[in-house]
Amino acid sequence: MFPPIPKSSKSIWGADMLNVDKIDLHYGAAQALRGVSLTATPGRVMTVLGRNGVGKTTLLRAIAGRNAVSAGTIRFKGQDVTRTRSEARARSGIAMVPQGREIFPLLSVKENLETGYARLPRRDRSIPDDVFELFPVLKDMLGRRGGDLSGGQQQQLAIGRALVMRPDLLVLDEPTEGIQPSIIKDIGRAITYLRAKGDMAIVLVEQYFEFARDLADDYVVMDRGEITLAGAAADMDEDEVLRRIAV
Amino acid sequence: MSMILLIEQVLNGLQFGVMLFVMAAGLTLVFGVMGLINLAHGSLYMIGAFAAATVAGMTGSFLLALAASLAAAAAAGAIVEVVVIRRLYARDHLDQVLATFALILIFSEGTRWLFGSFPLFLDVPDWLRGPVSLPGGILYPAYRLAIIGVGLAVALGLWALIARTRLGIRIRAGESDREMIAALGVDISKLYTLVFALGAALAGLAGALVGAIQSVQVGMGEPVMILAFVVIVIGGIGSIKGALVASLLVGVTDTLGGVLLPVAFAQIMQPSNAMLVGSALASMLIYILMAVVLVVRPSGLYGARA
Amino acid sequence: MTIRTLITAGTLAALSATTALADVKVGMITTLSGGGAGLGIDVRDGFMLAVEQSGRDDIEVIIEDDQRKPDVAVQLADRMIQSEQVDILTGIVWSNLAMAVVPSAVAQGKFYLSPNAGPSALAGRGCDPNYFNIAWQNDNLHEAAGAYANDAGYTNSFILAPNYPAGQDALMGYKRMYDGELGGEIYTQLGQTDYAAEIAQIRASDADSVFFFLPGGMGISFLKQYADSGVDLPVVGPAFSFDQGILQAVGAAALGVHNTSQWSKDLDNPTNIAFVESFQAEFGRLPSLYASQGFDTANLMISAMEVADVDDQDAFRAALEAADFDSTRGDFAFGPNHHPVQDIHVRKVVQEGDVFTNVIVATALTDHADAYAAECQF
Ligand SMILES: Nc1ncnc2c1ncn2[C@@H]1O[C@H](COP(=O)(O)OP(=O)(O)OP(=O)(O)O)[C@@H](O)[C@H]1O
Ligand SMILES: [Mg+2]
Repeated sequence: MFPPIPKSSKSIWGADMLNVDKIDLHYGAAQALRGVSLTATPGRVMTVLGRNGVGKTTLLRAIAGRNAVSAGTIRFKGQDVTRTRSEARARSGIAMVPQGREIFPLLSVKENLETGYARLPRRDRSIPDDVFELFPVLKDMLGRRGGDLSGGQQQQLAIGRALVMRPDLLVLDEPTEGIQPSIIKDIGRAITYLRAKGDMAIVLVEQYFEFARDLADDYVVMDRGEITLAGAAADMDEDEVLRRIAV
Repeated sequence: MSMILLIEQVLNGLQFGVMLFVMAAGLTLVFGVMGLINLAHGSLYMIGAFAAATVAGMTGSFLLALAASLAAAAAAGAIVEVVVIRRLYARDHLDQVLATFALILIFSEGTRWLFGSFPLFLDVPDWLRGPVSLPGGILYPAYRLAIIGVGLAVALGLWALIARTRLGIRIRAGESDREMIAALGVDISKLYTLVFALGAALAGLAGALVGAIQSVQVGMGEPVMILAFVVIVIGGIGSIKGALVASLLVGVTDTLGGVLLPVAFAQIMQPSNAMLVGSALASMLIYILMAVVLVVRPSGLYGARA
Repeated sequence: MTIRTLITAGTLAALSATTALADVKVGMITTLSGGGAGLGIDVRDGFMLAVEQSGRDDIEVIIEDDQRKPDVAVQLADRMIQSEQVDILTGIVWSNLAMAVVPSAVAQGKFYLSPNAGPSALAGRGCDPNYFNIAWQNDNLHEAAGAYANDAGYTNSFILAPNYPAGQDALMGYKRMYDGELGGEIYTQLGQTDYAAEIAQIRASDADSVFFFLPGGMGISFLKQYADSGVDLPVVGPAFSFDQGILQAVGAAALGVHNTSQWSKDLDNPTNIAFVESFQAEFGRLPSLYASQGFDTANLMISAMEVADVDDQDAFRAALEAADFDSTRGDFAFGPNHHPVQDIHVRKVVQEGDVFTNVIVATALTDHADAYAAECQF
């Protein structure tokens, strides 16, 4: 479905844009992550697979700084950001497309996109052309309220908003959840395009196996807060992975 | 009752209303964006009036006095936000009410300590003194007309700020999802301090404007505060537009009620009794208005659906 | 010893039980914080000035702040009576607080000397042999305003007051003496700060004068707004809205207004001249009506101490009744209900240098007693 693209790694921070090292995370007394490690590299897509409730979203929230970890370290562009607050991580270049999209329903599409400006110097405050090339529908709906968009359009808006930030690391949490096939295709095309540009590291959480497999360069499988399988997509044992994520 | 008197009373109601709006705007903004009930908003009104009276006394300039009221109230607001208020966002409303009530006492006694127990003098500037003639033979104080103008300008300015600027986008975005707006790189604590200081500055401005025709004294903010709460409840908590509509509604209802109800009761009872009953009922009128609005629309005129 | 150390000493005495008992123990409950604190502070300062000037060291004064709250005043009074065992209570500024405290205090055998509040209930049927009012019965200054309106030739007054008991008494008091018609009669809300609507009604009426009773900040607001409205009917009112404490806040808006008072700083008698001078020297501000009342209250008490022991209640009461002290008002006597019989003057607001103050221009009522004395049976 998506043709493989030559991998490149032209980061100035070495190979890893993001380096998550043995993090634990607790919700109160309940432990949601146990010693999770993962890396993401510019021009590559790291896919996180797993059943419902195994801690995928929790992992992304830890990366984005929305939840504090109780052990381990997170390094971004070589810097230890483990204790950095979420807005500072966003400013240094981590953009998140959250599960459930979290677009601002009362703001117009244009204003939603403009919320991505916060980390940009004044001269860069514009909506990049490729956002509208990837999601032309947004251009037609600029004046519409975010809350009036369909689910699929909202998902495109959430991705567009993240791209406005010109991030170095893009984390997407189940972008295909509840979305019709034609829009899933658009989203897949967008991720492929972003990977091909080569300057952005991408972490993709997915339950839609075929979609994830086609986009992945690397993958991890999670179960009950732990990573139980990891490797390069090229070497993936699909049957084994499917067995571990089947419900 | 003559037409001229009626028009004059409607103007009075509008003037009262726009000042309530300037006061209520900050309150509703702070509630909408931060979810904070700030009882001490009236103290910022008082600080504005005291700052204006002090600067007017020193310089004789009313415009400098207004500038001082904005600056002093904004500064006081920013300091209180950083030192106290930001610890309250995550707390429930009861804690917020208790803590901000304590702030009222601190501000009141602090002001008394600085300025003494006697009211301060602040007067209408010479260039706005006295009445002007309006079409139709209406004599109306120039200063009150100016207040109406300032109030409407503040409303317009706030609308532009909220609807047209990046700060406004952040304020509205933060209102619905503060976690997400932080994840987009917006420094939420700075935004909150800014919003709080903005609301404080408006309260201070209202205090200074009103102080020139009322009495600048400790505790002057509390009665207005109660009305401002009525306004934001009627308008819908968090809605600036609601605050504007409700302020004007409350201002006009209160003014006309106070004038017309005694007259109305005089049709059916003795004049002196009508006076007592009418003015007693008039003082309850805005609360009755609030009750009616809440029955018809439980979340206020422009409140988000609960 | 300065007043300040006296006050501190009084407070400390209240705190420490080991202090030796003074001969007369006075409990002063007055308003020292919140709106209206200026009045209580003046009462206190006037009272303590007289205590200091007497040179006596057998008077112990315990001063407490009632925050203008009846419940607080009642608690303070209970404590002062039961644990401090004061002989005399004084200090309350507001009628509603006085009504909450006085009846039970006198019922427990204490003297109460009122330096300000004079509700009609305590002057008529509810009077008590141990209750003395050294200021006025509440209606008095309003009655004087009504009498003055007649003298000034007003025949159509527009009258307004807040809708609460003292406000209703005020309009009644005015009407009791005033002979003319009413161009309008309005009850405003208590604590109201904007009078645009009322002023518009005054403008639209055919009144020839305005009488108002709006104490504290309400009066400041009204006068400023009235002055700015372009309505130029003459205004008359009781002294409360033209007192030294608030005149500076009203400014030029009050200039020329006539107001009625039993006291004025220019009353020409030696006691008053000395009082005004020493008050100013001690506190750096001009004394107010309330300060003069506090001063007179203390001097009345001291005059009684000179001839009687406070523990001998009958003798002490008789000594108080004699009112054998030099009042800042000149002549001062008690009527049968222990309320003042005194002259009430008409003052005019003037500017002296950059200070706004009052001068006496006429006397409205001479040897005036109150309307309730006949109802009082001890
Ligand atoms: N705020 C929270 N407080 C307490 N427990 C939570 C919280 N959020 C998630 N959990 C728990 O942590 C575990 C991991 O949840 P998480 O949302 O990370 O799962 P997920 O893999 O993203 O699931 P899904 O595929 O359904 O989105 C679950 O057991 C969940 O119930
Ligand atoms: Mg999830």
